[in-house]
Amino acid sequence: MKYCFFILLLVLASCNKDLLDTEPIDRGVLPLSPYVAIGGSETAGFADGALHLQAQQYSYPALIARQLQQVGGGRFAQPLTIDSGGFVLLDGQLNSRLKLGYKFDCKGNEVITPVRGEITANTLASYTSSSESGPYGNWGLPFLKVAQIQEQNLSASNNFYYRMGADTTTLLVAINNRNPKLFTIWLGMEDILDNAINQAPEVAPINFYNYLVPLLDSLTQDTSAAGFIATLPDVTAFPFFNTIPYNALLLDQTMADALNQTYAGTGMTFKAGNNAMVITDPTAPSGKRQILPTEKLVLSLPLDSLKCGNWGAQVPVSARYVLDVQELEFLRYQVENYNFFIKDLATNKGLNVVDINALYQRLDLGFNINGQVFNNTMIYGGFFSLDGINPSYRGAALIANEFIRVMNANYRASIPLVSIGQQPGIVIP
Amino acid sequence: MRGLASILFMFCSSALVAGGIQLALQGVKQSGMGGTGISNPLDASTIYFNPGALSFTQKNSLNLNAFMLLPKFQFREEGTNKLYKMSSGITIPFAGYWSWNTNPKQHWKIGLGVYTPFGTNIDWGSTWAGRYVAANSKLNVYHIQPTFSYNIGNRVGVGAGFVYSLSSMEQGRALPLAFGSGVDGQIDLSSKANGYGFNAGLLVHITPKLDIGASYKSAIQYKGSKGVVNYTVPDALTDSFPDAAVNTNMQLPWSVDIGVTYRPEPRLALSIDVNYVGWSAYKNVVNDFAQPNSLLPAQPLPTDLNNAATIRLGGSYDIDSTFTLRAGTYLDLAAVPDGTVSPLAPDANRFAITLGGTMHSGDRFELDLSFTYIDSARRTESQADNYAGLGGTYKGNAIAIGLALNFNLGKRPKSTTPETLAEP
Repeated sequence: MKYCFFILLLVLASCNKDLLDTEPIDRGVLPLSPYVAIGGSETAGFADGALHLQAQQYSYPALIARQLQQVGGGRFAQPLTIDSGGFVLLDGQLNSRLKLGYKFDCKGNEVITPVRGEITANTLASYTSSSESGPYGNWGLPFLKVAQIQEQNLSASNNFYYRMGADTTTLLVAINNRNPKLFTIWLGMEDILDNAINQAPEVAPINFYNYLVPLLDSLTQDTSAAGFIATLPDVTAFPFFNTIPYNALLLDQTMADALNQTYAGTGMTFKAGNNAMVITDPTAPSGKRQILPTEKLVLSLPLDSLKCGNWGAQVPVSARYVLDVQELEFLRYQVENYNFFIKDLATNKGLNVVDINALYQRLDLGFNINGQVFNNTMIYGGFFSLDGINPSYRGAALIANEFIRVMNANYRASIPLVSIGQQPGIVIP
Repeated sequence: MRGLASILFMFCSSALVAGGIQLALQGVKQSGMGGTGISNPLDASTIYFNPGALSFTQKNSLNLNAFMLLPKFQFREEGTNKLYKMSSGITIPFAGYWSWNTNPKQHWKIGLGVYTPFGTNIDWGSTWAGRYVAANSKLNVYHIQPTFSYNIGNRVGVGAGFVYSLSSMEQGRALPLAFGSGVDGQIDLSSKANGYGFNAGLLVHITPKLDIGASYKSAIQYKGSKGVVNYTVPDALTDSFPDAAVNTNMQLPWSVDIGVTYRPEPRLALSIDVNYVGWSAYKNVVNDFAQPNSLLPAQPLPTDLNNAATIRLGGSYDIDSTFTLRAGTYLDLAAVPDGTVSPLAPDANRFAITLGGTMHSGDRFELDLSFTYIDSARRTESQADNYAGLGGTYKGNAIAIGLALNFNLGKRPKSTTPETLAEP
């Protein structure tokens, strides 16, 4: 009987004891607070084509701050949108975020595609104010160009600034007023993207450098502050530029014959099956040509015009929807040079470099995190939100972890990483 | 096509791995002695351990074994420092054996064994960090083995059994396709398949004190067409992920076992066994998956398993005519190479200590008890090297409690020593 009792004791002891312990966590020598994040759309929590509540809550700075709080970090306020659908101004019109939904296309087929949600009274309220009061830690502004950092009346050129309640000062002064002990910077993306998508004039790398210097000088005045600056990814790999295939023009023999007739003498040829689309190109002899396999069509290209408006066929696709070989080469060159200056500035100003570019490069081949493969594909690639440019919540978590890894490595800290799969995924209807 | 087939392959191929799944629980007496039994015919359960030794067992008997297995596993995710616990589902492996001949003095014996050599019941839950790799897995394998054994001059015993096997498998994991509620999609597979093989053995009675045994348990190939894959995905994707029938093609590993038993005195028996298990022969492919699907990227496949050995030591001592004490230990080496460890079978080197006892009640009945404590070594997979990017540390243990009833059906008078071999 004693023997049975002994067994029972062993069973109970085994059942109640934890087999593994959590490892100790520690901030090391990293100053934690106040933490200020500076950057563009990704930093602000702009995703799915709008600045919206959930994307702000899962923005990479918010995720970093949440992990810092586990080792003693303080409050990290963000100018959260009042409406969960958030807002964005498109051609002067207020719009709310994209969600995957059903829509009838021009041919009457029901397709699953990102669609904008309803506008509510709160959409306008989100535009003018926030549901969370400052002082803010997240000074990321959607579409923030480096030239805007010291711009007076910034809300005139960036309508996301007004709601931050700092309209009387420049962004640089507003940030400086927070006296950050810890700051993260991810700037330059919006300048590259504005040039790529909106044909805005490029910002020369040396000018990019010159715009950053006053910001970094001001932030590094406090020599005890810890600063982290992110490198820029090659934006031309984003799904926004890679989702519509160059040869999306699907023809039968009759249509191909008609096009061959239309474009006789231009050197363009069409056959039954998939064909390279016709685009405008002022440098081509006839003003138009077929797009090359290495060139890219942007996701803002109206799909109904492709399907029903003869775009890419009888109607050449306007060059503004196309990144041609020279533009692509130039964009990659810009990114490379920006990154050169980012690393150069980091060395000169004593900042830590976070190689976000390397993270994005891994998306080209894809990588597996806990059974989920992340790559450059829309929706199922998991990394990008529905706008094809800004990260999803899990993408933001991957970015946050890159920052935390550098904090841990350079400041003898052991801040736990964000659990990628425990962040919300992309909702499919 | 390849994409989805690969996803499924990944899903199934690590289903069944090494000692965590290969249950060393086929007889309560043997369990008490570190799982040794290749060269020590303790009772009718030798039908499993070594069919060659069956003809040396003296009585016609019915031997019924049941085990309560309480496994426990934990996982600490790399980087995030978060702990996850496998819910410890209790499994109850059983084994029953019957042996018979017309007269105990005959040199032959026939027998029938029904036992569960492989099995698993794992549930990590549907919200844990590794749910896209594995959420739950259940495998049941039943062997039915009619056996014939013959001894030559009471000196060399040979025997073999035909094995007919039934298997059923259920597995589920989450898919990174979120419903509006935030819940993940799910893929569930269930399959049933049958197979056959054999179990053959040899026992040599070298001296009254020394026996050597060997057995070979063949690989068993299962084919079945009753598998079903069910997807639970958001409405927009139901057309892309249609439920489908699948064919099962599974092969469980072979095992070469050798053992030596030495009896320095009649009341004491000491055994050493080595099982060498051919995990390299293991495969588990669910194929014939005709639905192309490129929405989820293909997953890299885990590499093959390594053959692995288990070394067992055990002994028994007759305290008196009514009670026998047993004890043992074993070391079960991991078969899953680094980089392919999966939560379905968190394989690692295992070390066990065992205790057991038999109460002899007169001539007709024996009651066996056994207790096994298995410690599964801490094993760390790095996120960068793991086939599914699941980095972290696994640690497990298990307790198995066995109870057996042994009915002697013959009319032979009981000897004071348990089932020692007849003199040549």
